[in-house]
Amino acid sequence: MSTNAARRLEAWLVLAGMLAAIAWYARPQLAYSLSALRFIMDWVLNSVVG
Amino acid sequence: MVVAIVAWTASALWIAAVAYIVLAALGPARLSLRLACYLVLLISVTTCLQLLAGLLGLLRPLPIGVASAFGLLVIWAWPATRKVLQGAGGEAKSLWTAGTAAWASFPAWLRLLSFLLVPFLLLRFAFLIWALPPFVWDSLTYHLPNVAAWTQAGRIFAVESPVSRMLSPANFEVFATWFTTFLHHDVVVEAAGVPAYALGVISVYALGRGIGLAPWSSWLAALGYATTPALLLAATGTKNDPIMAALFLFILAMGWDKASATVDARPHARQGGGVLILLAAGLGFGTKAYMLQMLVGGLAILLLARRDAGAPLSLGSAWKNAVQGWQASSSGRRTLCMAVVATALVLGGFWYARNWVLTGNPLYPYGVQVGDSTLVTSSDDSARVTWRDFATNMGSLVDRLGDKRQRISPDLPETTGWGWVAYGLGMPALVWGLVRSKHQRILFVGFAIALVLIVQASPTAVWLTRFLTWVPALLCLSLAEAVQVLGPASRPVRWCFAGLLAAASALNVGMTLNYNLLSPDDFKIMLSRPALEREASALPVTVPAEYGMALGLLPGDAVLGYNVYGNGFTYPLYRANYSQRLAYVPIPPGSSCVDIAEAMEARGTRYLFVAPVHTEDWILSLLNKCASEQDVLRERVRGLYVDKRG
Repeated sequence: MSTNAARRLEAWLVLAGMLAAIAWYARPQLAYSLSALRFIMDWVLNSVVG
Repeated sequence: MVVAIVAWTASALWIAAVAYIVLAALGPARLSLRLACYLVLLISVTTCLQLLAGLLGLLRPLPIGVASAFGLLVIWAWPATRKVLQGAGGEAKSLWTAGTAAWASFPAWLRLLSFLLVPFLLLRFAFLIWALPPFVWDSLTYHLPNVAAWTQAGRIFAVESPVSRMLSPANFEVFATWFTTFLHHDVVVEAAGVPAYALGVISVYALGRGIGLAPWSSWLAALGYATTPALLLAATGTKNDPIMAALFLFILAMGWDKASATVDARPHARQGGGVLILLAAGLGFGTKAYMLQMLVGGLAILLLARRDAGAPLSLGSAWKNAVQGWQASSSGRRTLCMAVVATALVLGGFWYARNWVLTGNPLYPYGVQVGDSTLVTSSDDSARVTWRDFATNMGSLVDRLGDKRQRISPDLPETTGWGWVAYGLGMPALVWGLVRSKHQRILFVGFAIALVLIVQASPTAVWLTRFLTWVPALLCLSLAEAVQVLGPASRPVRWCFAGLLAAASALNVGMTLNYNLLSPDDFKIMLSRPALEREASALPVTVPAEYGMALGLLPGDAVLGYNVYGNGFTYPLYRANYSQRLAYVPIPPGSSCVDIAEAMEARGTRYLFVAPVHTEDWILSLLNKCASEQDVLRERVRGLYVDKRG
């Protein structure tokens, strides 16, 4: 395998690791983070609508 | 108000000028490090001058303003210092030029992300500081009560309180008084955490440059760290952990610069760096004692980086360098070095010396146990250096890794608060870095040593993640190096890295906008009041309603007696403008209703405030009984008792 191909494979492996880590962290933090974002949206909408 | 603003401006200019004069003489050559040094000097000079003013009983706008104006006149009249100050404009211009050149070299996606994120973060800071009063637990318990009592009295003293942690090292609290003294109000007190936050972010950038990262990837690391939830929440939560993290990262950046082969070859410049590291260590040690453990980790990194650079490791050569630097210095420079070292010693040692005199224990309220022997006795918590405690603390940390147990909120209950960037992107990058990068291995060893020592000595396992806000910096630096090295190999991977970083940063910042805790109603309650009337007692997130009800009924000129336990809130009782005089009324077990009334009288008050959760249950029951008997005490409103005899 050439150096470039090896480096590309390494990059894809690290990326796959990141996706796995994000998936692992997402439970249950995604719900918490999204509820905070929902709070902001609700607040902005309430302020705009009245 | 006009006098206050003028005095505040004079004080700001004086501090900025003094810090710049020291920077010009002792600062390093690299611009990012110079910027970090300037921030450390600004914080140190402010803390030192406020401490001096407080100890002299001059913690008021007029004396500080007059002294600052006089100081400015003197340094402007003296040709040597005037010449230095006249060079500040040129330095700011070169910083701007270097900054814009670096910005132009960033990839387009990073510029776009920065363009969206940085103004948003600044807006977040401005809005939360303006909209909300302080509400985080430790701030209301022992950080801000000191600030309130000192601002109210115009002097710094040991405040009588049932909360023993009020006597903890308090450099951060002294620094925070600069944000309250002039307006005599807490409307901008949360801004006291912003310089620490900025220092932490800039230090990560400088450290990234030190370990050989490109400007753009160093900025990526800094930006990733800037979104760390634990750091963001604590920075506007008037906590002292951000300044500790920032000083540790600053020391690492400076230490790496000193240790690496590209170090400034001028002997006196090396010496200046050492003196500024000492200043940062002193400032940190006078804020939290765990600076000591951090320094051990920092020293390990310095030694390993030095070995990596092929420089000699012996103490003899370090000493020879220091002597050479000293001999190459002018007498003015030597005097300045000695003044900075003296400042470091005062900032690092004052609180321990005071506690030694007052209580016989320099580490009060904490003790130290090593194995079965007690080195420093304390009735409160102790740092216990035993395998069993280490295992307990480490187990507690492991349980919190991944933030699985709860949402991340300012007190970090059951979580680390390191967030999406550190865990999602930083952890895999760290694994890669440990295999591929020698610099990442060196950093990892130093960080691990500091972490293990802090975990070992933490008196409370439950809350120890607050002391680890600096860990995500390592993960962000690993991420930056991975993106720099692996990004060019494949365009899709590069764009995936960029997309994941953007998403993770957005999720990090998103959860901190309402502290992951406050409801829209909480904001509505606060925003319905004028900014100067946003009392801590009126925000019902952590403060029981009793606080607001009692303050609403109390005559403005009355002294308010209070009784809370050792972890109870006292800060809201001072009111936002620090006008409320307080007196602690101790109620020992076995007290009768008459005893309580007499204790109130002895403290010069007819009023006694208590609150559920913050006052011992048996005292609440006793007061209930006293009020129902109506002999000496009457409950005026929930939580507020009045001595009927007066």
